Formats: sequence, structure tokens, C-alpha cells
Amino acid sequence: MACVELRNVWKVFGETVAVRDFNLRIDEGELMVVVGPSGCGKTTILRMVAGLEDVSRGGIYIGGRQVNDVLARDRNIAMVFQNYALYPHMNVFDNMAFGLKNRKVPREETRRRVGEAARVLGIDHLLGRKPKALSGGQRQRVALGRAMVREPQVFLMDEPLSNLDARLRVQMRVELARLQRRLGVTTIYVTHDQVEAMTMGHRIVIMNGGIVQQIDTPMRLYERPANLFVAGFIGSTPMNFIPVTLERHDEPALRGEGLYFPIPPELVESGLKTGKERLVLGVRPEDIGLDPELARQHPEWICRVGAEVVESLGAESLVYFTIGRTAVTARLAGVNIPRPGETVPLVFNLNRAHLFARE
Amino acid sequence: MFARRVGKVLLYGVLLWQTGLVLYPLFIMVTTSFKTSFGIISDPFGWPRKVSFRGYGDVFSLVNFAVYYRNSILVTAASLIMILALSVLAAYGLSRFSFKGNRTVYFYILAGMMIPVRLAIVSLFHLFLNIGLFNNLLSLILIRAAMGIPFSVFIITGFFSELPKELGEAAEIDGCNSWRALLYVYLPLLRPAIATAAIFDFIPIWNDFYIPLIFIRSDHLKTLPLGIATFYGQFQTNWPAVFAALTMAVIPPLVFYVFLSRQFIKGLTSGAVKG
Repeated sequence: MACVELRNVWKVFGETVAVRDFNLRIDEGELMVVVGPSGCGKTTILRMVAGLEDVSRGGIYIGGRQVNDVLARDRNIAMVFQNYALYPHMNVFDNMAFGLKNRKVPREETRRRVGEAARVLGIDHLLGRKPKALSGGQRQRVALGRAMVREPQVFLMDEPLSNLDARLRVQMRVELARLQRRLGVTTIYVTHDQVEAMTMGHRIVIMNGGIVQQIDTPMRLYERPANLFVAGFIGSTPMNFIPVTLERHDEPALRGEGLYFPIPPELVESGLKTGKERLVLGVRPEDIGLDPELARQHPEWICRVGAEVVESLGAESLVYFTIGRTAVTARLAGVNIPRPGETVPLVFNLNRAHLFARE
Repeated sequence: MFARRVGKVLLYGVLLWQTGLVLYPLFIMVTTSFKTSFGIISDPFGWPRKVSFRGYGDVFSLVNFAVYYRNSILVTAASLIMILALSVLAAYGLSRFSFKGNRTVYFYILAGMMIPVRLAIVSLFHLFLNIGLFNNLLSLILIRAAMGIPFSVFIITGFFSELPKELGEAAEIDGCNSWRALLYVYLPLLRPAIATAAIFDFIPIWNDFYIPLIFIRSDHLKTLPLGIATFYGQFQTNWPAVFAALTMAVIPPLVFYVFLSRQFIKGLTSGAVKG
């Protein structure tokens, strides 16, 4: 077990900068998720830590030792690939034992470790099979097992669940997180799926265009997004963004097309901090609703809107409407749902809203 | 139902006809080898009326047949091993390592396929004379290896490029250096490509008459095709001996093919179905 640190790491491919001045410290036993849209540099970072890609500038440290010039095979890391990369000509046992065989681990020890990992993963009855004869979930487990038996300092996982079907993915997500906590191995987990990131990570790095947007715990990312990108990326129904301007006459307020909201001082503060007049109001769909308590306290935050489309998901419903020219989504709990075409007074919880500079 | 049965009958008919087309010459060759000279001339395609082993006797008594056989096997095996070893290494480099001039080197090697060896034969003759390899089996091996490498590199590189590169990376992380990754991970997966290249190279090397004719003078260095040619005389040809020798010469390629055919078919059809 070891901490992993990246200091001022750059990766340049020819003319393009894939990773720009990346700094990150991952504590011992921590599960750090690196998330972002495709091409944001997250896989490049993982490959640099693995030693499969050179570092253009900066330093990578594993357990305090700089490993820039250490070969992948000497870094004591294990990696799970997106397509598993199981050796097709070897059976499950040999796949898992290959790394130990290369390191001249005694045969008895190898058999014990592989057997144990297989038992933990529930694949001990498959040890004689070739990867071709396994299902996607089983292959996934073998790939995990291959990483586990090595008892490495660091696990690196490159979108390990993206080739599984939705149901299995949810199941494996939970198993993986449980396994990681049980083994306590420092883990870097790369994904493009924000749900995976939110549910699995102790902390999350959000990247875009090779640049770190925010590094924080899942809840803080949700509660306090650092910028528009993070705000839009986190949350399974994306945050609503409404263009507004900040007005400060007698009472501070936000004015936008079809809305006028007097706002609390904290929000004014965060609006002023941007230093801009033209702002974007960010409100999560779950913060727009029919809450009578909030409506009584803040009648000025009520906006009468015409529901256009209503999607009922059972426990909750998504209501789509337009304010001015901006499409907005509200997520309403319960069964008291407006019908399409109906006009409803929805209350915006501006205590939980965010203001960003307009780009 | 009826149409399908007719289709099947037709299909098998065509396949049988094809099989016959391939096997009939072999059959003629084998039967003819058991005829007497007179039997061959009087009834070329018939069943031997009187079975004679004279041809086989002549093959072993008149010439150093066993020596020719040994030379052929030696030259073919050595050339093949050289071709395959070098081609696999070249393909590994070309498909798995990015370096400046990668494409150029690849096309340079492939360009070898476009040069007929006959064009270069005079220079080769001088070259081997100068380096003292004229009338030496090594000359055959080297020339044949050089001729075979471009095509083998082409086949194996193509196959290699289709293997996911993550396999090599997984091997690297599992503690392999480049050699071990090639040996334990890639090589077993390349078997179909290697078998394909081996079969394609085997036949022309085994059958080669032209290059031994030019580079070999001594009788004890002759290969089979050259040795068999001694039975063709200016005034008369020992046909039973020719056919007996041919019959025996055909055995190694047949065994070789049977041995590798499964891998060979896999090599030809790989990529057709996503596996």
C-alpha cells in the first residue's frame, strides 16, 4: 500500500496538450476516481501512473519514490483494462498466475493466492476455462483477480465496467467498491460515468480538456461545484442553467427572461465573487418543486410555469418546462404531479442555487 | 426441402469433382511409379499391369537419393526457421513499437516481393562467389530466406496488428520484458499467421529447381528437384525412377500440410468472424 502523488504533470502528444499541469495526491487506501468526458486526459493520466506512457514534464511518485524512469513491470502496480486484456490462450488460472510466474513466486504460494482470489470473486469453479468460454461479468472478475493476486501497491482501473450491461454494471460497481475497501489498496479508477464516480469514489477528480476542474469528495462536488462544467457534469439529471443578471438596487435580485428572484446574501456573495454582471443561475432539478413549507417562507421564489412534458419514473417525476427561452427540468417527488399543459406554481430553492460567470 | 437437398447434392458434387481434380495427378504419379518403362510408354494412364519396384530400386542405386533428400530437408527447414524467426521479430517491431521510419522500413521490406529473383541472379552469383558460399547449401538457405521474408512479414505483421495492444501492456504490467511478452503472450496467439506463412513458403522452397541449379555444382549438395533431374537424359529418360522419386518427394509437404492445415485455415479465415 502506498500513496500516489502527481506533481505538475504534463503530457504532450506532438502539438496537443493532453494533460496540463496536473497535481494530485492520493492517500494510502483511498479510491480516487478520475472522471470526465472522452478525450479529457483521464486515461492518459492512468497510463502515465502505470508506466505505459512517458511523462512529458513533472513527477509521479508512488510511496514517496519518483517513478518517472521506473519501468511498468517494476512499479508494483496492477491494472484492469477496459477490454480486460485477458490472455486468450491461457485458462483462468494461468491468466491470474502469469504475473506471479514472471516474478518467480513459488508454485505453492501462487496456487494459494490464486485460489484465494478466485474464492473471493466467486470464480473458483472456472479456473480451468479459457476466457472465450466466460461471460462478460466472469471475464471482468478474472481481470480483477489477476490484479488482486499480485498484491500490488496500487490498483489502476481503466473504465473496467463499461463493457458490461447496465444491470451487471450496478452489481459489479458495488462489489468493486466493497472489495477495494476490504483490501485497502490505493486505487485510481477512471470512468466517464458520473454515477460510477459519485457512488464509488472517496474523492473525485473532474477533468476537462486536460485540465483539472475540481478535486473533492462526491458530496462536496454536488453541493459546491467549482464551475459551470462541474455543475453540469455531476448529477444524474443535469443542473438547469438560466442566464440572469444580478441587480443591486434596494434589494439584491436576479433578473432573467421571464423571472425575477430576490436572493439571499450568500448567493449575492457568490455572484459578486465572479466579478461579472452577466451570470448563470444554476439550480438542480431536485431543488425545484412544490414544497409548501418553502413556498410559504419564500413566496418570491415561486414561478408559475406551464408543464410541457412529464416523465413519470415511479418514485419521482421529471417535469419539463420553459422559462423565457431556457429549457428547465424539475424533479418532483411523490404522486401529486402536474399534467402536461397544466400551469403550476413551482418554487425554486435559491438557498441551494449557484451563480456562475457566463462564458 | 427438395430444393435444399438438390443444392446439397450439387454442392457435394462440385466438391468431389474438385477433390478428384487435385488427387488424380497424385494418383497417376503413384501408380506410374510402380510400372515398368514399357508399361509407362504403352499405357500412360492405366493401372499397372505388372507391379514393378524397379523405379524405387534405381532411385537408391543409381543416385545419392538419400543425400538429396537430406539436403532438401535441411535447406527447407533452415530457410523456414530463418524466415519465420526473422519475420516474427520484424513484425513485432513494426506493429508494436512506434519509431521514426516505421512505415518506411515496412514498405522497404514489402518491396522485396516485387523483385523477381531471376533479375538479381547474376549479382547474387557474383556475391556468393566472392564471399565463398558458392556451391554451398548455405547459399540456398540465405537466398530462399531473403525471398520468403517479405511475404511472411506482410502476413504476420497484418495479423499482429490485429491483436489488441493491451495484451502486451498487460504482460508488461505482469512483469514481462519485451522478449517474454513476445514469447509467452504473442507467439501462441500468432500460430495461425505463422502456420500460414510457413505453408506458403514451404512449397516453393521444397520444389525449387532454379536456384540450386545455379548455385550447386557438387552431387552431394544437390537437392531433390536437382537430383531427380539426373534421371532425365538427352536420349532417354528413366521414367519409373522419376515417378518413384517424385512420389517419395511429395511425402514431406503432405505431412507438413496435414500437420499445419488447421492453423492454416484459421489463418486464412481470421478476421472474417469476430472472435
